[in-house]
Amino acid sequence: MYAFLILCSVISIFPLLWMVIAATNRSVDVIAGKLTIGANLVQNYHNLMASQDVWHFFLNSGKYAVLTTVLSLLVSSLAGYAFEIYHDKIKDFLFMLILMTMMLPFVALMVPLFQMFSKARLFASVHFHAAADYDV
Amino acid sequence: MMFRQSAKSFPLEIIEAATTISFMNAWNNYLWPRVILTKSTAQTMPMMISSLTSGYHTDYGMLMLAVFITTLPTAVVFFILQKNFAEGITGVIK
Repeated sequence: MYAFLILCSVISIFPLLWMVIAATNRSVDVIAGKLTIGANLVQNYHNLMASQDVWHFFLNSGKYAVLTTVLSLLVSSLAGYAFEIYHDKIKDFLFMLILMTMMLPFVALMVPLFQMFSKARLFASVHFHAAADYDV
Repeated sequence: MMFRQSAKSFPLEIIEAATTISFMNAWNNYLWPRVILTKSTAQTMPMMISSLTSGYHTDYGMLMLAVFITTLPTAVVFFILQKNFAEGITGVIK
């Protein structure tokens, strides 16, 4: 029993461990499968900063994620509260409809959403995109 | 205010679990930002990682460092809100 659990934990942990170890190695060593900590972390960091504007994109990601989280929590918790407290036939039907929209794959909604955004001219500003994010 | 009243009755564990999951989904979301953000300066971290692999040769050490940096915020959010995560995600209210 414990052997199985330990096996599962090792399988879960190993990719993370490898990620951390690989970040300190040269590209050649990573491909060769070296599993000890290397001395190339600083060089990797300089290469990364030289090739991409990392912290700018980090900030973009942060804005996007925080706005999405706050908006979806606010709207979803209020909607969930209302659906839980007030029951009648029409509201239960509405609740079922909302659950059905969750079953739709995002890819199916992408094109209509994209058209909505292009009509509203909301491109290239992170702030508005959180509002339309579908992964609640 | 009505919102104030209803907010009091929300169990905090569930809000925390929902925050963790929602934040993780939003942070890791690749497809929608890729479709909608057209300017090259408006990129998110997953988009940047995918652009790191698109050259003639890929620097895997650098790539893994970028992935590591991208993992940090979700890890931080999870560890802050971790205490009641198991109760929150299963909807157990004491």
